[in-house]
Amino acid sequence: MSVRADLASLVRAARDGDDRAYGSVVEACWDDLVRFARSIVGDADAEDVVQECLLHAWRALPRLRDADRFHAWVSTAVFRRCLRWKRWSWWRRERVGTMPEGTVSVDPNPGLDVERLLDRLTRRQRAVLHLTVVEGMSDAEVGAVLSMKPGTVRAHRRRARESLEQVLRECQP
Amino acid sequence: MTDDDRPTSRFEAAFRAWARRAPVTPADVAAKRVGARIDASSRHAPGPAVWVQRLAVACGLVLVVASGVLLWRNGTPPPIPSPAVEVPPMLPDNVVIFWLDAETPVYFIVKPVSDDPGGTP
Repeated sequence: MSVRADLASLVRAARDGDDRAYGSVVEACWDDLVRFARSIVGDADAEDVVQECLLHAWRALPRLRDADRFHAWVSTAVFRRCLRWKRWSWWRRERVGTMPEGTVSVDPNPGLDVERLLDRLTRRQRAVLHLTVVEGMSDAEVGAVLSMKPGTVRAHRRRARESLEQVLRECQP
Repeated sequence: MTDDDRPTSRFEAAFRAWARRAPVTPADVAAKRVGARIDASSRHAPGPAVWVQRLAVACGLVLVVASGVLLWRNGTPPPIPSPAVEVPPMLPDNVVIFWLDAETPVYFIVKPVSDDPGGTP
């Protein structure tokens, strides 16, 4: 049985009220969702965003008709929550300084400050770049997750690359 | 220009490596946390008594708003006549009254017709 089919059967069981099955669903999706959220809101907030989303997804699960679409459905929820999250959670940035050492992952690219470069992009541009560059999705697939037309996805990606090119050019000696 | 020549290709390679790092919290720990929060939220879910109270408050609010809207739409009630306005006494036939407003009468007195027709002889 494929991983996707396995996830769908777990989602169906969870929808029928099986808490354990939902635990397995969370385990299966956690890494992908945290990575996606991290590209949009950064290291400090990503896990909080995803945890909130998975909690709401549990409550909204009876409304999900197609269990096969759970991953895309919850990814859309994470994207929307990320868009809202930044607006009112500015104070959470303060907490990062008080977190114990080792809780924030170390940047594997010390030569290129990825997080700082991402700060130059809008949240939508970051989401499009993540799904395209990291997940390797097509424009139609990205559009389905972000509720955008493929043309809009391309426009966001083009603008993101233009912004990055400009920043990288400025940084060159 | 190939993909490797593009100025952002170095960024995209770095971004891919940065984004693919494992989350700080392992998936099994996260699943337990979410499960605990689901348990806690279902334990503290409001019971029917609370819903009845909320429904009663909502109905009360709807009634207040509806009656307010009805009053507003029907307009203000007609003004009560002021007791200060005096009813004019019975007037002779040659007096005409025009009311400029509720309290300001203007009297016109018509000159009585005399027996002398006047005019030139």
